[in-house]
This record gives sequence, structure tokens and C-alpha cells, in this order.
Amino acid sequence: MILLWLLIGLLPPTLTGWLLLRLLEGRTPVLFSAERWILGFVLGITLTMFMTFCANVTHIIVFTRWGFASVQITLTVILGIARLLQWKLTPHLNLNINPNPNPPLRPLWKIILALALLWTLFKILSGTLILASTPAYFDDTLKNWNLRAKIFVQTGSLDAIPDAVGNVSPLAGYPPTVSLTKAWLSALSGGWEEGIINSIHVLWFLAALLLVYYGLRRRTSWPWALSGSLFLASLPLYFFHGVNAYADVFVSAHLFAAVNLLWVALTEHDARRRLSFFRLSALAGTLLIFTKNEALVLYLPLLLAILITGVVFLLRSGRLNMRNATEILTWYAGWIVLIALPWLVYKWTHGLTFGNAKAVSGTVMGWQPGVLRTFGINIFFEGNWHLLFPVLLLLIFTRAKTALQSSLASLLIFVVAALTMQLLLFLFTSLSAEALRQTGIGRGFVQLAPLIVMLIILWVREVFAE
Amino acid sequence: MRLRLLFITLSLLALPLLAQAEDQTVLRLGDTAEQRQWGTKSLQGVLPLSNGIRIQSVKAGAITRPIGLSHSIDVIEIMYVSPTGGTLSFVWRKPGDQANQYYQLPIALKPGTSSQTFTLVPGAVGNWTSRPVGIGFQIPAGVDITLNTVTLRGWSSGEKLLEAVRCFWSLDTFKAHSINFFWGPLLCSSPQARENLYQRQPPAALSGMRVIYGILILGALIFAFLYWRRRDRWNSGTFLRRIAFVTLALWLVLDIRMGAEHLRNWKTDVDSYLTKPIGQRVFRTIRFLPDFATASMGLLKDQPRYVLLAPTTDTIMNFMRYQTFPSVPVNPEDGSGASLWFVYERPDMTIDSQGRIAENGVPLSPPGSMVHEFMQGTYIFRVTPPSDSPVPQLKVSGIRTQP
Repeated sequence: MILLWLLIGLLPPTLTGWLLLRLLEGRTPVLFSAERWILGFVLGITLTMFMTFCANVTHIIVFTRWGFASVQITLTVILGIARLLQWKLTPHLNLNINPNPNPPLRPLWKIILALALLWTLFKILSGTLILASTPAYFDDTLKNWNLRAKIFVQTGSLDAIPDAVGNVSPLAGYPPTVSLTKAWLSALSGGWEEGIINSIHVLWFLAALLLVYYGLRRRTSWPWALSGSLFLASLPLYFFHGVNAYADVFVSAHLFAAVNLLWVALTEHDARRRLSFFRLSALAGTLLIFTKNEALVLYLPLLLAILITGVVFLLRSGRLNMRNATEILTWYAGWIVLIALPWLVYKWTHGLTFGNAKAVSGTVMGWQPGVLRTFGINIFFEGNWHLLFPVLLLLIFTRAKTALQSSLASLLIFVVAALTMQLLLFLFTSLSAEALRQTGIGRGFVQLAPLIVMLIILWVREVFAE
Repeated sequence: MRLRLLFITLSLLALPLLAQAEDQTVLRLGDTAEQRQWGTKSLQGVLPLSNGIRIQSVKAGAITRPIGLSHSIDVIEIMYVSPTGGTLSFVWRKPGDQANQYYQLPIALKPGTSSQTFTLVPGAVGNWTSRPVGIGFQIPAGVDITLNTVTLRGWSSGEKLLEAVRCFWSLDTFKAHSINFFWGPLLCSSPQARENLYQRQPPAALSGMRVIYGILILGALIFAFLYWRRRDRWNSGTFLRRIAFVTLALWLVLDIRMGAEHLRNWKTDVDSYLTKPIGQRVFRTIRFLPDFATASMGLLKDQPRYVLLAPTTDTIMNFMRYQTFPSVPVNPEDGSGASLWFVYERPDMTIDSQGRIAENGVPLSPPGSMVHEFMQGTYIFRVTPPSDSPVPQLKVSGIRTQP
């Protein structure tokens, strides 16, 4: 029953996402067929919920079954017609992208990969069973993601959430995508069923694993790509977030999509394919705004900085002309205006904060003792990340110069800059309390984990190729 | 061939390490000879008795003795009687340190009129040495304590190694912090430390990742040596592949360790919650709360707010707020006018003679009565409405109540 409601509930947003991605690719399809559906699922839900938010705050709909459905039907019909026109007007293209060739693999490695895959699937299945059949337990699920969903579906609107004594909760400043998705599934199924409401998180987790697979598959053979997904799923904290009703794996899938598409665009040699990737990355990058607050204040500025630097570099190297550069920046600007503007206007008019449950404006600056030590313990001496960070640091210290001269440069710069910014935020602001209690550190790493894993896999492969 | 021979020889030589039994030295403070070993500093009210040394401290001071055992000290068991209880410090002196230079570790001793034992596992404490040359206690003013025995227990290197391996594979349970971090594999050197490993937060143990890094560094050194020895047959690729293989193997070990922790905890969820009948289900740290909340939902949903009384508030408050929305739980101090009190796992609360919920005799609620008791200390309490208000009908769902 859970599966049926999920299927019915997620099909329209996924179709919306697929249609939009296909429209953006235009005459140059660049995504793998399966990758397009997975990206369609991830970005389609967020886009649909953003449009639902817009329709609600403009009093066009309330959050009822038909309120949600009307937005989804409208979007699907509009994009479907657009896609039909595109299909009629442009030559019919083969959507199958030729993946990298697969070198022969030793039986030992096949066995290791098969066992690791079975072990991972067993863990995911067990975690899913527990998530779908036990009460919500962890704090942010109870006081944020699920509670807000319940409020949305019961009040039918985005009314600011009051706390126990009637004050406006700072949680109302979080983008509502995750909670709206749950509210939609609840409205659709006609009740509050924890199994349905929480299972969506496992699908975001699986989507992130598969996006990493296809992200790697674009550059490597299937064993390396599969290893990347398995390594990511093996990270205890990432895995645990994947099978619990938290939003950071959801953010990680969006962040991976945005950065991966931008990185591929910057390193693509074919001009038409490059433009196609840029158009896709503009959508994925901008939708980050509607995932969590840190995406707006931390990741998007970094993404835009890399975009502008990359475009300038491509212009100077003659691989991009001014017309194409303008087109790329227009796509980004257009999506930002379309998505950031309504959300920011809503936040300002409702007096909502921009920090992560704490207002950015209230942040106190200054050196925060103990944070560096806590970071060290979290990434090196606890059971959260296996050997992910030692391997990353080893590669950075021994191979950074080579990597910065290779196609990995922009990916490496994004990962290092994002990690550094997080570290600096905790080291020099009053957000340090989140670090010292270890409530904030892990979330940022969860969001970046897919990118770090992809970087490491590609880097290690390069080292071996030498 | 030579390597195999070396390995077998080393294994045989290591066998005695594993065979050696636990060592134990008991200091009976009632014995006259033992009492002569102890010296005091700034401490008054010290009285040697036949069952120990009694200290009734007027001002803070220390009682210490030199020590030189043939075995290491990994666990210290202190048997005492103390009507006052108090926070003392266990102190020790390292070899080579000055006579008056002691390190200290605070220990909170419970009050009581009969003998109690406090077990101290100092292995992960900074500056601890398993071979101290002096031990004792720093005692604050106002403490009345009789120290009966101090048992010093130690294990051989082989046994410590075995314990460290067992400790590495000891698994933590789900706690509220599990969504933020896992302690991961830990190292300890005694069964006592292992049995209480995750009960103390943070655990008094070293990270098991030290061993992982140790193996990794050792592997890198061995491969670097082999690379140097076999320059004609090895290239840098061979060296890197071997390092990568060791990293991968250690990664798999860690994944099995952490995966086992997740699976074991989920099995606990299945055994204690999913396969039990409603009313007898226990869920992680919030125990009976989901079932009690479900049973009380009919009553609470009709109320705009209700008072929540629970042993800890954060998770329970969040859980109840989510479950009973739009009805909001509030703390007793914000509960003026609320007609229902949701009392969870508070057997210390009593109903006084005037029908009020009271804590240590201090009334917390207006008069009322218990309308649904789930188990002792867990119930719904309805405040008696003023005589001119209509009494609402009760709605309690039919869930089996705990005996």
C-alpha cells in the first residue's frame, strides 16, 4: 500500500521533472536515460513543490489533495505540450548516451563488488523496513520536517509555525519542500500514515546513490561507478540519514546534481553538449535555494563564483564565444529570478530568518575555541565517515597541484571551498555551539558526501592511470 | 618461507601473553599493617578502625600511600561506607614525578549506611599510568567516609589485547545523538570498561580508529620498505595499489563494524517494538511513549493544550507535540488553565490528599483525578472543572493497560 501511494504521488512530479529536463536538453540530449528519470524525480519534486508554494501564497490553492494535484496536472500538461512541440519541431534523436567502455574485470573484484552490493542492499532494506514501520524518533523529524507537514496538511496553508507558547518558530524560515512533499503524500492517501510520509527519504537516498553512479559512469567504467555508489552508501552517517526522515541527503542529491552538471559543463569539449549541460545545471543550481537555508547562503554563491570564473576561463581560452556565455548567464539569471525572488520576498515579508534555525544577522563573530578539535574528532576518530577524510586529505596534500591542472579542478575547488567555509563558519561565529555539540558538523558533511566520494573515486582512478 | 617461519615463531612466543590470568591486589584498610602505609596531608578527623579508615573531614585534605605492584592497574574498586556521600578525587603519582605531584580524577560517591563499591576504569584518562608509584584520595571538607578496601586489578598484555578486540566489536545502541554522530569502534582494556562502554557519555575509552590508522601506517612503512628492496620489480603503481588494497580492506572492516551496529539496533526495534502486542511495546529511549500517546490521543486531541510531566522534556515534548498536533503540550509553569495533565514515567509524583499532583509534597496541579492509568507513574490526569462547567465525556481508546 505504501508503495502504491508513493508511486501515484511521485509519478506526476517525476514526469514534470523529466519533461523539463528533456526540454532543457533540447536538440542535444546529454543525460543517460535512467539518469534523466532520477534527476527528474529529484528536481521535479522540488520544482513542483515550489510552484505549489507560489500557488498557495498567492491564494490560488490550499494544501488539499486537489490543491496539490491541480498544480501538478497544470505543470505536467504545460510541459507535456511544450515537449510535444519540441518533439514535432526537432529531429527525433536517439536518447541513449554511449557510456564509457568497460575493461575486463578480474573475478575476485567481481565477487567483492557483488558481496558489497548485496550487503548494502540488505542494510538499505532493513533500514527502510524500520523507517516505514516505527514512529518518528529523531528531533528534527519531530519538530521540523514531519510536524510542519502535518501543520500544512491540517491548516491547508503555510501559516508560520507557532511554538508551544505561541511565538513564531524559527523553523518557519526553512524552505518547505520536504514538508510539502510529505503533506502532498498525506493529502493524497487521505490520512497521516508514517510509513508513506517517511519512506520518501529512502527514495531520495537511492536517487543520490544512483546520481553518483551515473555521474561517475560518464567518466569511468561501471566497476568504478558502482564502487562510488557503494562507498557512499557505506558511510555510516550518510547511510543513517538516508534511512531516517532528515533532509540532508535530500540536499546532497540536489547539490550533487547542481555541481556535477556544472562541472561536466565546464569540462565538456563539445560546444553543443556543453551548452546543454549549462542549461541543466542552471535549473539544478537554482532549485538548491528551495531545499535548505544553507544552500542559499553557502552553496549557491560558491556555485555562481565557480560558474563565472569558469565561463571567463572558457571565454579566454576561446572554447566559448560571447553569445554562448551570455546565453548561459541568462539561463542562470532567469532561474534565479524565477525561484529566488518569490521565496526571498516571502521570507522578508514574513520576517523569517536566513540562518539554519538561527538568524544569520544575530551571529557573533570571533575565534571559537574547541571547534577545531571537535572537527578532528568527528572526521577522524568517530564512526561517522570510515576513512573518507584521511583519504581526501592525503590526496589533497600529495596531489592537489596535479589535480588543479586537470579536469578535476573545478570539482576540487568547490569541495575544498565548501568544506573550508563550513569550518570557518563554525570556527569564527557563534554557530560554534552547533559544532561543539556535534549537531551541525555532520549535516554539512552529509550534504557534501556524494561530491567528495565522486572526487575521490575519479582522483584515485587518475592516480592509478598514471 | 622465512616469513612463514617467523610468523609461526612469533605466534608461539605470544601464547603465554594470552594464558596469563588476571592479577588482583586487595588493600584492606582495616589491617594495621596496611593502615601504617597511608599518610595524610591537611586532613583532620582520620580514625583507624578494624573495618577500614574513617575520615570525617573538617577541611579539605588528602590521604595517600606509596605503591609498587608487580602487575599493572587497570581497574580500581573502592569499597566504602559514607552517610554523606560526596565528590572525592582519586589521585595518583607517576614514576619520576615529584613526591607531592599527583594527578586527580573526580569520583562521585553515593551516600549510604551500608557498604558500597565504586568501580573506576581510568584507562582513557589523560596522564593515567597503569603503574603508579603512589595512590590515594583527595577529600573535600564535610565528608564522612569509611574506606574499607581498595582493590587494584590488572590484566596481562595478551588479555588486554583480547579485550581491546572485543571492545572494538562492542556495539552502541540508538540514542538521540545517533543522527549527528556515532562514537564508532572504541578500545578498552578490561571487562569492566567494556561492560559500561556506552553508558557514560562521552565513553571513557579510546577511539578504535587509532588501531586502523596504526595498521595503515604500518602497512605503508612495510610496503615502502618492500618497494625500496624490490626496486627492480616494483614500480610506484605497485606500491600505491598495495596501499589502496589495505585501505579498502580496513574500510570493509569498518563497514562491517558499523553495519552490524545498525542491524543489531534494528533487530532490537523488531524484538521490542514491532513484534510485541500494542500496550507492551518498548521503543528505544522513549520506551512506552508511542503506545501511551496513541492510547491517550482521543482525550488529548480535544484540548488546545495540555500539561506534560516527563522525566526529560526535549524528545518527549517534541514527540508529543508532533503526535497530538493541533493540541500542544506545555510545561507545568505554562499550564495555567489546561484541564489535562499527561504524566509519563513519573512514579515519583504522588496525588496528595486534596487530589493534586505533587512532587516531594509540593502541589503542581489543581485538584483533579486520574482518568486513564497506563502503568504506575504514567497516566492522564483531569483537573476537576469548576462546579458550573459541564463535565466533558471521556474518550480513551481501547488499548490494553500495563498491569
